Amino acid sequence: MKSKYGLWHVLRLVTPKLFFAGKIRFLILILLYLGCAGLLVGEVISQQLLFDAGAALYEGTVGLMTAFIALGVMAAVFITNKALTPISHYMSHFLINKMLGQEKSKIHKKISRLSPEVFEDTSSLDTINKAHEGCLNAGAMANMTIYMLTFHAAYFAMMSAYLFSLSPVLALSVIFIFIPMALGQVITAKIYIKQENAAAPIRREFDYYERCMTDREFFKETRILGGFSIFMDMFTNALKKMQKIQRISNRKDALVVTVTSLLTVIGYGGVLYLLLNAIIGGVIGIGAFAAVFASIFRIRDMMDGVINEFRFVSRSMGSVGNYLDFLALPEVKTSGKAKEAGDIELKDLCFRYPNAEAEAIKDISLTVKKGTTIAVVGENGSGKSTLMRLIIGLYHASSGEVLHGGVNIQDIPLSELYQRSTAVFQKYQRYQMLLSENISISDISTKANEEILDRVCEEAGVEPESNTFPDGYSTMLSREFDGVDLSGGQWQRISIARGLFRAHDMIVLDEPTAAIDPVEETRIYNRFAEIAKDKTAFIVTHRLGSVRLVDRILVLKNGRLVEDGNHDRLLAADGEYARLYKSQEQWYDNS
Amino acid sequence: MKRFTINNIKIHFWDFIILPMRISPGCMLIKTTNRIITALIPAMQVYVTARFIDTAISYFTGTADISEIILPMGLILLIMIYTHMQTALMSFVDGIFTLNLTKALREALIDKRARLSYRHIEDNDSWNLISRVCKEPERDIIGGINNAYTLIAIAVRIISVLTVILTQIWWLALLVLAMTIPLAFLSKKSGEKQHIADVQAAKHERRADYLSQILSDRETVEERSLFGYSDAVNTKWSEQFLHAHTARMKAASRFTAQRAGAGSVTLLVSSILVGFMLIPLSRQEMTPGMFIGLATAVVALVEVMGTFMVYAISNISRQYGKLKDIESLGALSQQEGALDAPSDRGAVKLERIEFKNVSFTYPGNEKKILNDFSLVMEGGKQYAFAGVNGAGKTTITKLLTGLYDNYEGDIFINGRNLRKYELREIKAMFSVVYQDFARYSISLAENIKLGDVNQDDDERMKWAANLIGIDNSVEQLPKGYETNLGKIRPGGVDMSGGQWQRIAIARTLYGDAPMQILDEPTAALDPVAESEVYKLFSEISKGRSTLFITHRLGAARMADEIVVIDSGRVAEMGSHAQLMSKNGIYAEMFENQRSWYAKPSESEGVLI
Repeated sequence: MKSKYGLWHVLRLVTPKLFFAGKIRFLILILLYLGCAGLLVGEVISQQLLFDAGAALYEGTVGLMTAFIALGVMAAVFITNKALTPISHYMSHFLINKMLGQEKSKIHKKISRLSPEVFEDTSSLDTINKAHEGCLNAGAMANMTIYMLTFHAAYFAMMSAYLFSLSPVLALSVIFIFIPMALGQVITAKIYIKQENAAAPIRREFDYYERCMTDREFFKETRILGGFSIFMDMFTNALKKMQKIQRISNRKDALVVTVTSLLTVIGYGGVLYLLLNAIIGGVIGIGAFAAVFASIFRIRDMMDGVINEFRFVSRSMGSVGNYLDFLALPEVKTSGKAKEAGDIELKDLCFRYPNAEAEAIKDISLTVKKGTTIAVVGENGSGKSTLMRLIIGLYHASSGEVLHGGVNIQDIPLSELYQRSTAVFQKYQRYQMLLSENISISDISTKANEEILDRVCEEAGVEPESNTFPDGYSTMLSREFDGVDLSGGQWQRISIARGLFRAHDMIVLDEPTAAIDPVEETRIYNRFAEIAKDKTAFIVTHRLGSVRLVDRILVLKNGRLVEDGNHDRLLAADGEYARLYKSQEQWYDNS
Repeated sequence: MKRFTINNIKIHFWDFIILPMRISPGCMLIKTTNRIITALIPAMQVYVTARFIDTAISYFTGTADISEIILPMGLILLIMIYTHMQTALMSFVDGIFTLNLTKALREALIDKRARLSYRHIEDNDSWNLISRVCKEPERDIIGGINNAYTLIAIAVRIISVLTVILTQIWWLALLVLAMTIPLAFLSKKSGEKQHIADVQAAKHERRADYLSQILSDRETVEERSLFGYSDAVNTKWSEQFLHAHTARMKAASRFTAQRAGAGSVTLLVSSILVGFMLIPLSRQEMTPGMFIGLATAVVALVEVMGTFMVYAISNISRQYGKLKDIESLGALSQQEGALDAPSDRGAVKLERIEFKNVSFTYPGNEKKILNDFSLVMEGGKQYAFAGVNGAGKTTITKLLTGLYDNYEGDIFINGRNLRKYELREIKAMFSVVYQDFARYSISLAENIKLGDVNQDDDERMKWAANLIGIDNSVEQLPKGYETNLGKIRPGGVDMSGGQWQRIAIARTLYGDAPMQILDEPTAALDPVAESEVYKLFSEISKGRSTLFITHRLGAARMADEIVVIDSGRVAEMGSHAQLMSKNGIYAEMFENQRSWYAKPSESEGVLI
């Protein structure tokens, strides 16, 4: 994505963040950068002094003492630089990491204020996913900018001044070294980007074939089918194609490097010529010649550094700009009317996913009395889960209204919107946390006392005393964090316990038993009767038999409410519900 | 050239050089030669600089002609040209080297991984090892190679510069040598300390990363929003991040102190060395040119030792660890015949399968998933396995298809022990649609024809597609059977779960193995689609040997024989009618499920 921000704009936003990560450290860092730059130039000057003293010593024009003093000065400059440079690195490392912590925390908070439907929009989702990467680069970018503006700028200014003071024409050396390098870097960068673009889809392809042969997802099947050689052929072909591209760009790259190296050498030749001229003309002494000659490579390395930093900064522009985009995403409102418990009303409710053509929910109007139990059925993709998200308030209606106790939920602030609502989602989470945390995470404000935990575990069929949980409620549910692995069925029960733990008047159960075997499933459905007593409950399920006895069944098809009534009535109507029901019932038919 | 393999490979320290030497000898020869020449340059430069400066001085004093300066000047230029042009050559050679290494390494790793005994795939520890090794394996190895070279180059450089010093002041050479030893030792020590601190910080970072995922990912958005736990989890995240930050910074400050200290000390020592040179200089035993050349070389050498050497030594042990991981991967057991295609299906028939007192425990588990399991299955019949989750249904198919062979007891197919079969014969015997069946992002035709890799039969493919009723949707695909599925290849088309399921079944039809196994294929489907899969399977299983695993008993009843598995054993077996009249586990489970669909008056349990 091309960012809409300019370089200057991004730097102005990003650099102060580093300052606020530690103000005093930041100032020290700048002083260190400036100091190190000065010391580097000081190294050249002190070398010059030593070499001159050495030559004079040989001639006998100065004594040993003078030479030793020159050596002492040089040693002092070199040692100070050697000691300060790592400290400046440490300081920048510290600040970058500190800033990272602050920014990441900001990301987390920002995400908590985004509407969940933002995650259904691919471009926003992309922005969110890349926010972490952008904030990682932001710190490095800020540091690099400061590094360039202080350390490198000071170094080049002082070095040029030093060369100029030796002989004005010597200041040209810097330009002799710079031009060929810059030229080469620009060309190389262009070729590099081109190659990545051409190679990326092929790389994805052969990575995929590799997975077909080796990944858990495919392993059993590929082995039993004996498909190895087929995938190996695909892999080899894709790899060959990829390597062909890389070989070509490698050749081009080598050519570019050859040309730039040649240019660089010519540049050096120029510098050497200037130096030689100066020394033969008696403008500079032996010491200055040797010291400058020894620092040619250093000048080049410094330029290399600047170019690389510049490249990093411009390459990070995209991701950092993306991070700034992320921070600007619209948030849900945080003030409004209080939520009322009561009936739930839907009025001409429509919903369309971001970027989708068709509406996922079309013109649904109905009223659900407080305390009733509702089943929602329909084929895959008929809009059941979407409707639930709208009723809970996770999604906002594209048109029409959802009212809780007569209040449009669009007017309810985030802090109240989800009060006294709970759910067991189809895509429930498996938190790699303790068993108790896995359950109580649904209601942070309630202190997780054992009594409530025991009750919801009992209701959901979780047995904290069993062998499955060696440390009871304190069992870590993750192999990765030195805990235990659970089966899908166990996880599903925990998700049910989690949903029940949260204090609620309304509960949504979205296919809560898909991974549980039928015996257990029956038990859980039976328990729901008690659990959902006096509460408004929505149950989304494929197991039509299990919801026969609810107060009311809503049948969805292609986003529309096609049938609404109790089991007997709907069966008699012989419509969509009857079709779905019979397709299951036939397998248990006694005839 | 013999293909590079990592099977049972033994890794030693010198394999940073030897291993790539075997993979890409030409490139390595050029690299090595160049590295050595480059390392010798500083020593040569001492002489050339000395010569140049001394001639320049002579020119000033009038003892030399201007023309004499041309030779040293030319040599200086020559060295410069070589130093720079070699980078061009090396970037080319390194490019080719990386390509060769990547290819050889990737292929060797794939070969090894694809041959692994199946238990390593399901075992978390070996799987972690595999994931660790195979994450950009070439990167660490190339890093290691470069560091190894850096160390060699530094050694060559030290020795050559020392030799030059030796010719001037012999005892000074010994002093320099004595200095390098504690420095190398210090670098190694600091590398190790760094590693310990890294492990400490990494522990907290992993936790912080996980919490950050919960706070940011799309998967968690529903629960995160509804339950409103962001602030609480963010607090926990901050704690972990701070722990990691503190640990890292503590390590970094120690590292900084060491680097600053070591750098200062070595510089001090080298300054003293230069100081010692002043004495022969004052006695005119050494020329100013030689003094300047040596002083420059010694200071540069110390610089190199203080940065590159410290860096190389402190990283190379980590990279060696990575290399050693390859050895551990190479040592994992393989399955014989893992990569073979199935043998000719025309030649195999299934008459009888017998499990005799089979017991099996998953590696790292204590519970016997199969416990003295015995069962006889006849060819040509349809079997259904029923039972609760974790009863061992799926495990049976894993043993039968040869994925696990470390079970107790025996399995006989057609009277011959399964252990005596070659894997390609077993592959020919069965085709399986797994619960978590693979969705290959290749073309539709390739997907179906994977069912029997020994034949390429378009008619048969169309027949299979027709039988499972995807022939209609094929017509709507942009390129018919040649359409790519999934998102990997260009122009790929997305399929729904139900469509993938049908493709998986079409694959087994195309294969026409003597026995077809379907392992709970309907978990992700809605009732209508589920019902269709049942019908489909009952259709295609006519006249074939089939094994159908399900816990929806309504679907199990159509089998000739229903096997109820409980706690790793056969609890009941018989036809639907037989088992119902037996009034055991099956009857209870069936009634339980049927009650959902019975008229309210008939059902005993009152639901909701």
